[in-house]
Amino acid sequence: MWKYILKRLLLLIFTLFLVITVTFFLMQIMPGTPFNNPKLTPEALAQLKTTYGLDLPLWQQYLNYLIGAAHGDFGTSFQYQNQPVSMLIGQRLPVSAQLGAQALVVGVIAGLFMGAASARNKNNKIDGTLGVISTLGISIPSFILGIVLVYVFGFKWPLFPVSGWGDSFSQTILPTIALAVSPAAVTTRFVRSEMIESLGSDYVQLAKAKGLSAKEIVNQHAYRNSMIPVLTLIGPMAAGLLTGSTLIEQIFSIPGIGQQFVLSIPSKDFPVIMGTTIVYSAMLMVMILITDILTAIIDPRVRLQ
Amino acid sequence: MAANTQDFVIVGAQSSEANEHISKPALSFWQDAWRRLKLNKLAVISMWFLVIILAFAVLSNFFVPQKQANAFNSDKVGVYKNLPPNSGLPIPGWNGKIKAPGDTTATDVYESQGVPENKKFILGTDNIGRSVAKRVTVGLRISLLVAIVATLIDLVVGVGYGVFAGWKGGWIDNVMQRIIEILSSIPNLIIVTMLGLLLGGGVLSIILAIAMTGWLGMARQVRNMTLTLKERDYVLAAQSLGESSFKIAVKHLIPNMAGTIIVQIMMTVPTAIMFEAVLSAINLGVKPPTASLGSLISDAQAMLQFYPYQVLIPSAVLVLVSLAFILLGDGLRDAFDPRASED
Repeated sequence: MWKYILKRLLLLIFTLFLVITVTFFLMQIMPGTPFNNPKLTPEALAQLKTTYGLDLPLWQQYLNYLIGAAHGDFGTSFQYQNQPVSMLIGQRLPVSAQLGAQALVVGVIAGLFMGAASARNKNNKIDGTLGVISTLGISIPSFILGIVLVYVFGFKWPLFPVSGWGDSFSQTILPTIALAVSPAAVTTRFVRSEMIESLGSDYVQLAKAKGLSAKEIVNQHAYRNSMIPVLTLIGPMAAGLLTGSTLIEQIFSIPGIGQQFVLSIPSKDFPVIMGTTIVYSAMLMVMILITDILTAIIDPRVRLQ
Repeated sequence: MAANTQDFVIVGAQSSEANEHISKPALSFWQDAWRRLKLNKLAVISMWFLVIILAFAVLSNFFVPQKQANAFNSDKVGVYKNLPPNSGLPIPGWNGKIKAPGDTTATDVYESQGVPENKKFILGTDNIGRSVAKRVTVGLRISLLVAIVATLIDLVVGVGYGVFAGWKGGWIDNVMQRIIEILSSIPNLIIVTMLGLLLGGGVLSIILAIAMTGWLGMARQVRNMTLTLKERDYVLAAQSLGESSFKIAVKHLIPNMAGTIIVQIMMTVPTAIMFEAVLSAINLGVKPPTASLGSLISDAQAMLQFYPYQVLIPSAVLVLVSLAFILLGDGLRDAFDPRASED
């Protein structure tokens, strides 16, 4: 077990190193420069380059960046002068994390209930309705859902605030729903098929033969065994949430790292783009790692390789 | 003794001719899948919907050229801008009247802006007076083009990569698997954005950026299928007849996993359509005046409160097309693998 975790951690660090290296060199060949203000004199430009360490040879810049990144220092933003990237990201990370966690929890819990309800009422109206809802949930991208929610509950019937963060809990409701729908739909479909499978399994047959009521069978046997595999979904879901939250943060004006990322693209704020890229990749990798380890701990049938 | 033979009647097999008759024709794999697909109404509706949409997208090249949808009359922007959808019929919400926020009665914008009597825009106009119907038509065309070409690239790269890794096995497979693992632990958004930044906008760069992320799932599935299929007897037979590896892959392996591949394609297209919209939303999409569904949505989003139809119409088109692909994909999966849905 420990050997497995160690191996995965090493692979994670190696992957992160690759991501840093590739982004660093991609940024070097990116077209355009943030210093294209025609008012800049050559002297001022040289001054700026020295400040940001851009006058050093490439390999030295790369080495500096690597050493900095290992210490959590991702350089200084081009756009907001004197603001370290790590500080910019550090301020915004908790906001994005809260939004993502809320959406994930709401989505997975809703999915567990809907999936179980769907499986227990297999092939009748409830199952059909939930099937339609979950298929819709998968095909509507979260940002379109976000726009529709803003229109319906923000403008048409103004029930919830549609922008900002941190002033009241009600601000978080619409963005959370917009992000939670896709995990909920994925979980519903998954739990439904898992549970139908376990309802037909031998141990459920045995429980029936033993004389347990349908409710007991579902609660004690079928449900528990269908919940474990849901864990394996959390990794891919986190990836979806990352993409979704970027646009959702923009739509709802939420000061998270997604919004920062989007803002830094047109202004060619390369240090911020790189920093966010690394943080995003690290977050996803850690989520996948945690999921894999949890699955291995909970389900002994998962063979560690 | 003669009476005895009369007493016994042959039961069940009246004549040898009837016995030989096969009641159902033998179905090939594809005919059988088609028979099962036809039982799934939603999938069949989705299929016809997609056929019509694709035909419309291709044929619309003749009656709504890109130039016509992009052109606007700069002198008459004030007259034609932001007109609400008008069907010409007295249907509430579709009669050219719109309620401004705060107002209680709807005003006829066509009248107040002085639009000529016979001019009607069935889906309204955008903020510089271009017909939304035409914009959505060309946008749908670009979005479908991007999604389908990206999916085709995924198909070629993913199938090639997967078959090669699975067929070779050993350390080659191991290395190729690690590469997939590493690539899939980087968020797609990041890869798509980086490539979008690097290639600098335009339809071709969007296609490449989206294709770069989409092939991973295909490669993984195809590789797993190859691992199982290559143990089959017909592969051994082909090998012992001296067939080359390439021919075995093309003639035996790929046709036998066609079902899996087709289902995967159906799931890749909506993802590609979505990523195109994401790229537009972060300013890395098609360059104006070219329109895609994504760029139409993100351009009109700022005015959502006042002109919701400009956002909701392209959004609805995007969702319907994605939904149709997903429903057809679900139907095809059940049709190709009936055991999966039988329970």
